[in-house]
Amino acid sequence: MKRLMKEPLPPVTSKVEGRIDRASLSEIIIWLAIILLFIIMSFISPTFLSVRNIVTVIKNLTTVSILAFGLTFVFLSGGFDFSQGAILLYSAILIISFNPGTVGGVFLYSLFVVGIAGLFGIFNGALIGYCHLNPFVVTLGLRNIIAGIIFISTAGMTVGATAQSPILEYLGLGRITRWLPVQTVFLIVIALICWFILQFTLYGRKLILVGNSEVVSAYSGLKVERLKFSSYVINALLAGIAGILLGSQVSHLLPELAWHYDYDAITACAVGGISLLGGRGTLLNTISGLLLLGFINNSMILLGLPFAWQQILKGLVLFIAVAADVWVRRKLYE
Amino acid sequence: MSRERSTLGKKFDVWIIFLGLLLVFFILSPDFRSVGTIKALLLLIPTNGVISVGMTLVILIGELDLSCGAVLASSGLIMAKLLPYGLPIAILAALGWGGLIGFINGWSVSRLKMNSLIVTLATTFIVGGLSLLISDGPRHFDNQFLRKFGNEGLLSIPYTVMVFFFLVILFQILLKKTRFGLNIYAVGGNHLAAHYAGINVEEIQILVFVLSGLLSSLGGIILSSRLLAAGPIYGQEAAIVAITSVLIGGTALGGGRGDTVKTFWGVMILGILTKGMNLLLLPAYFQDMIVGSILILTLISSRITQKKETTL
Repeated sequence: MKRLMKEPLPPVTSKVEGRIDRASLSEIIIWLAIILLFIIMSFISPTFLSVRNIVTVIKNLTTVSILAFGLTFVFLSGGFDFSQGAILLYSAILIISFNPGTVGGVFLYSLFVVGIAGLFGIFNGALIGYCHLNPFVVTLGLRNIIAGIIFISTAGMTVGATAQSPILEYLGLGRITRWLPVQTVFLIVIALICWFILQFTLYGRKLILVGNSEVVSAYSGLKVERLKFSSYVINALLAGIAGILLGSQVSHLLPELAWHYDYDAITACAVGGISLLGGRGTLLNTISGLLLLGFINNSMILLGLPFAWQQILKGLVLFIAVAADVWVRRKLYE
Repeated sequence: MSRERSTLGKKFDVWIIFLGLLLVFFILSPDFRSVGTIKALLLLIPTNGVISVGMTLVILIGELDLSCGAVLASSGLIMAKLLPYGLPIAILAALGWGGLIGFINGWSVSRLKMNSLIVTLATTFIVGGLSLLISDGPRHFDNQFLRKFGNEGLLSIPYTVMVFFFLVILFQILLKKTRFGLNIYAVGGNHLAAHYAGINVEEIQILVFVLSGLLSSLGGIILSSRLLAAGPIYGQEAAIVAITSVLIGGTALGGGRGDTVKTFWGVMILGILTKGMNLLLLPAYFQDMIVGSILILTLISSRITQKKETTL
């Protein structure tokens, strides 16, 4: 993997360099871009700055955000995961296709679905962490396998509940107060937990060290294999939760149409400044990428531009953000 | 010496899988024994095959190209749009477009030092959006030459398959016998060492990405001339399928190990699997699962053989 994604710069070793890097310009640039977008759009479109619009954008970001949080763990440990979109879809299909009825039933069934997602994560983690196989190939293979399972279990057709349970409907569409959807509460709680784990626990620090250098962390006495394993399991569990939230939003789902979530999550991480080589980034980076992409998409819709332009602009933003990041880090290094 | 042995061994393995599959389908399905079936099977292969040849080069230098699918669809569209101005212009424009996207990818990877996965993901979005913009749905066309090129052949070998075979042999010679090929292996083996050995790493990277773009748009031309149609979402999964066939062939991600003949067998295995499963009347849904399983199993088996060699 290290050779697959070549580091453009020599590894950052000195402490001074680390400090500059952490307060790096590229991180600030993304937040500035978000503010700039807000200023420009508030002049162009009167509805952009309304509470309703902002709440809608954040609610629509729920699925991609949780995927991106999981991906942050994997990227930080120096791995890669291509299978999370498939895990997401499979758990969404599971949650849609069966209606347990009672509150306890829904809770137990959700646990079961997250458990299935966790099994996929264990598969990834065991092969990549303990057997040292290439993460790209393993997760690509698992993606194909889950795609097959999805096709077989749905026969390629729309999955739908005959009667969706009211609890799931509340989870998907309900609001706690007028401006606070239930999904957003979930999103905020998960974001806080992930942020706390990555920022303040020993585990988070260890994961980042593994991403920086596996050799050094092995010599420092860290259990590299177990740490890498855990990052894939966390990612899969989060993908399972995201799947439940996605599934509870809709009563019918055509799996063919929902394959774009994993690409969007990778894009958000990369735009925010998470290094695909591992060891660099915080959850705030991911959040900045998510917000920028979400609000750009929203403003394109408000301006009435067709989907094609949204794709083109997404590509351009990804390209410019990563190019600027690399350029800034290079200048700092020189 | 041990490395020599390992490549030989792996080539042999892939051969065996192909022959085994051929035998299984031959016994199980009576339809499989007819010339017509073989010809139909052959017609399906070259699109993926041509793209996989380009992908082999990209993987050999240790990078990845996700933009193949978008380039394939857009070059088919460009050819269909420009067909009224004459066939040569249409084909040249399509190839030129593929080369241009390849150049942008290669330039960003080599000069801007960006991660190839991210760059090609970005160009996938951009090119995909552009082809949605220039098209209004699938576009049908008719052209005597393209119809012949895409669907007919000499001695029941389709022309497109000949192109694929020719490219495999050409790039095998290029990789093994020329300075350019050896440089590709050197860059893939160790970036920095290649640089210190006086190889122009950036030039090699750009060239390889341009070749990959050209071959992707050739894949688009082949697909469009078989279907006599072009659309913005054709071949969306082309990059993933190509990566899969390269990996099944035994070329290693990370660069430096593999060649186009291996990829040839990977492409053939994938092709025979898809067609054979259809003939056995198995649901198409199993294909994905089997492809995924093969991918992981080949990785595990190559890991085991590597471990054996190091212990020996």
